Amino acid sequence: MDGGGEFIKLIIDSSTVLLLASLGELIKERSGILNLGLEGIISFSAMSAIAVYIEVGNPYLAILVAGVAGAFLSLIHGFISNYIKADQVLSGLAVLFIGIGLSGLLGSKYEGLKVDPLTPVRIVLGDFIISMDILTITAYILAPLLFIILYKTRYGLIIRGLGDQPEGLDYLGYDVDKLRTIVVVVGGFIVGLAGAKLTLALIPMWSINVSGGRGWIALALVVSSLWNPMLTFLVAHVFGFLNQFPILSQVMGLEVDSRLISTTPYLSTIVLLVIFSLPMLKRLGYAPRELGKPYIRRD
Amino acid sequence: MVDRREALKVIGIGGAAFALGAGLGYTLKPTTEAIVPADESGKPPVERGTLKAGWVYVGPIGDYGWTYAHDLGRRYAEERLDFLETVYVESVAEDEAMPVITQLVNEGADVIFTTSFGYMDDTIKAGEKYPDKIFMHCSGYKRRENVGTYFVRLYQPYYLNGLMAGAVTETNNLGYVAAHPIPEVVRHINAFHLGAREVNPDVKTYVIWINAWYDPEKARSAAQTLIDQFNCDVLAFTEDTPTVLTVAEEAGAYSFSHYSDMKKYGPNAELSGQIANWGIIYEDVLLRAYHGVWESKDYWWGFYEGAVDITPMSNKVPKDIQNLVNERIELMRTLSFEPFRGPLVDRKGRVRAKAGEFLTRDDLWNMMWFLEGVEGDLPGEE
Amino acid sequence: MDIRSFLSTIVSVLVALFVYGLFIMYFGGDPLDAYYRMFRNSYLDPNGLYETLRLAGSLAILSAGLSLVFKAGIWNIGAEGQYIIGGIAAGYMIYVFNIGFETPVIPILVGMLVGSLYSAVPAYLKYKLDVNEVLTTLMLNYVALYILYYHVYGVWRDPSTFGFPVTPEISMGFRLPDILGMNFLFPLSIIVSIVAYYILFRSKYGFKLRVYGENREAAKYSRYNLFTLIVGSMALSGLASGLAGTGDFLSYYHRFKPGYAAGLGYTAIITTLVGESNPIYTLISSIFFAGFLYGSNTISIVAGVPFEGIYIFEGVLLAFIISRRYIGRWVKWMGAENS
Repeated sequence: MDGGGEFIKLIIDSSTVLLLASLGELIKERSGILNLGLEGIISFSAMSAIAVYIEVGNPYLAILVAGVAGAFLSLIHGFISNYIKADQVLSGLAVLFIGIGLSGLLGSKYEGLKVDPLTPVRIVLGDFIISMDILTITAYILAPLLFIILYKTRYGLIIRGLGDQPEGLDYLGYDVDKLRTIVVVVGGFIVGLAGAKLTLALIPMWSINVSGGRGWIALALVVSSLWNPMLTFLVAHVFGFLNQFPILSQVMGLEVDSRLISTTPYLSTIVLLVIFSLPMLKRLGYAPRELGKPYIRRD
Repeated sequence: MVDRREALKVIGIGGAAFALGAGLGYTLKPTTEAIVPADESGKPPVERGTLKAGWVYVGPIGDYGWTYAHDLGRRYAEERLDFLETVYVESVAEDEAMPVITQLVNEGADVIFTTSFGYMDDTIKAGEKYPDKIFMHCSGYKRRENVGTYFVRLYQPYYLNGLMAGAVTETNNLGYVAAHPIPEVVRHINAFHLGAREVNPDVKTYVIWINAWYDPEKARSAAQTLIDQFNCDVLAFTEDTPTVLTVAEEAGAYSFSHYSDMKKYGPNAELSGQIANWGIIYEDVLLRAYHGVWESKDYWWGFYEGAVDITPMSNKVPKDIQNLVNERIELMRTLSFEPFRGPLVDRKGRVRAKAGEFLTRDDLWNMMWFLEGVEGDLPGEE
Repeated sequence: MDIRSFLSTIVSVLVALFVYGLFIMYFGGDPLDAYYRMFRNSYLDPNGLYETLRLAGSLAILSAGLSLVFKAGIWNIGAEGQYIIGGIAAGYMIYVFNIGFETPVIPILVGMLVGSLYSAVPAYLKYKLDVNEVLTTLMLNYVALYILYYHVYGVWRDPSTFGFPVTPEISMGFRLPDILGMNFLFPLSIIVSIVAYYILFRSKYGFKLRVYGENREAAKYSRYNLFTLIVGSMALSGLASGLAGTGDFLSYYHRFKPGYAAGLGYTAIITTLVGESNPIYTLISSIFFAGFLYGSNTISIVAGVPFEGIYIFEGVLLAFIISRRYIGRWVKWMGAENS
């Protein structure tokens, strides 16, 4: 037995699901597309991952398919948002319903089936040994990588431009709708990895309720981390830890109602949204200017 | 028909239960016998056609827990009774039983089983709306002329699991992952601890609440905490996932199956488990319904009626304990033994049952106290 | 509703029925038979009709409120939370504060007021600080849900139910009666829909709301009072959600359980959009959707399709409804081809 190591691993696993989901959503939102369907996408990709794993037995293929499943649902959302120019909030809800519906219907024959969790790799850092699976490693690389891409590369400039000043990009001859759709699909793939992490590692068993509201927490997380991947990394671990708090509080003998603790991610999101909207603090915060608005060229 | 509750009271008054066993066994004939009333002419009963029964499930039938066990029961009844046709609806929200019941009736169901406590009000309402249909509500306490209730005495197998846990543990620390602090769960915890304490007086049982019936992540977290922080090496649980068993398997600890056989989730870790044979109750209800002799009552069935059982014991359970368990099962099958027998003192020092006395049904259904040696907070403790 | 959008709505519904039908076939059922039985159970059976109209009542009241804000281009995703909080507030007037006599009137008024406040807060933040109302109302749904759990599992748990998570049943004096054999909410929803229609299409305030929804700049030029438009319409919408939540509690459930609300606030978004944010049309779409919500159980019974199937129907329908302009063009193009 590893002692406390297992518990830390659990917090890391729990946080990684949130981290992957919010990193995927983050780049979508940086390009101006808000997807409320996160919960449905996570659920559908989690189902796809475990179904492929059970049928084929290859975890890497399962991860890939989960990513594709996430990308597919996001493509629907991207298409409706960018080309039909329908409201993103509503198309997000449509994707939410479709995702949950599909995972319920197609997943019904896998209900309750268990798989072996992904084999973790042991990483030795001096005296500190920690075991992580490939998806955790991916998430941990992805957060700084996205940060660098967003702020230090030309691609990042374009992605940020899509969310902040699409008219500028259009003027320079970029196809805003097409670029936004691409970013949305890539983001969807990353969200799909969160689904894979969920059913291949954290809870290696399929059940329709498996996502359990993580999609909504991830939405909150993106806002709470001010659309910055490195802050997302931090906040994801705070929320992941909070998830374990109801258990820890009993161990420590604290008298806190776990249901009220559960409101923390949502309340903190509102509070942060408000704080960084205050005139005096607005400069410190950030939100994509065109978030949720379809790009329509003004002639 | 003597009620089970009455039967238990009789045992309680009698004190030396095993002495009464035979007599009671005679009074309470196994219920599946003699269901068809004797026809005056001695002719076989008339052909009654088919009977359609509908089930309302709170979860998906694949959950390997509560709903799965009920569905096994449904299939058992369907196999045994050739006049029976069955339908079911899965994942029905607690508040939305009424629409489902109405539609089951419209689609021809004669008997309807509602398998979650939350369906209680809707089942009663439906009973008033459809007086010629039969309703059975699982785990509730409200009855009408055409609405009965049923539940199983799962604390009996929990007690037996406790005997095994007490014998197997090396650290003398047992863990318990529990859903909600309600009497049903508290009863299971006490029964488990009672068994463990009987074979190992030094044992302690640590309880962590996850405040949900379904939350695999919290269950995992709680099980891990019990192993890491409290040095527990045998874990029991009352919640609707096999998570605790899988965690025990990974950590090299032991655990049990819950409601149905979960051995595949922890082939090395599973010592035994609690099984509910809902099918025994379903068969009895449906036979009676079919022959028109069903009467509203409360089924609270245990080993005596065959409604509960344990899964086969692992070879990690010492032979003498296996023998003790089998002995106890035999006694419970003849109503000659009950786990909750005095002297029982709660952890606040209050006497709950004097030596030789039994806890009554009301005591069991309202149990909000822990035995001495059960550790952890109990919200609403009396 | 002009003929084109009417046709495109019909097309959307048919497409959604078709996709759902494919899944019914996937599970081995006969879609037409399943739909027929669903229809029969929802509308032709007296008990079914009662339940359908009850659901329709809640949905229509929620939709009437949402119509006001949607027409103004404000996305209130928080009907679910406002429904729950309204119900809980009514619960306080019954379980906690003793008002001396039993009447449903005071709990209803308090429930409406609190639902309205719960909606006005994100509206005010939008008005004052331009905080995105989609995110705030969404987050508040979850806050409301955990507040509900806190009461049901904790402080209001009925001690007589062996610890199961339900609150005590309210006494007869607090309950809303049936009217002409219908659940109280359905007749009420007709009145609410008419009132909302009047506000939206026959009053100056409604005119301003619609202008604000169609053209923010024009509304600013005309010096409309944005406070009354944004905060006012959201407050009215929350008022309706609170009414629906309180109404379900007092007329139907008579107690709280963890499953109270059950997503009606989200479904109402779809009924509102299908009804083009016109309270009269949303009344009709609510009756249609209620039949579907209620009758989807029949599909589970006769075809073994899991409960989640309904979400496919809702999702596909929503996707097509919001793409309706596009479908409308397509229908027109088909028409041009034929002529």
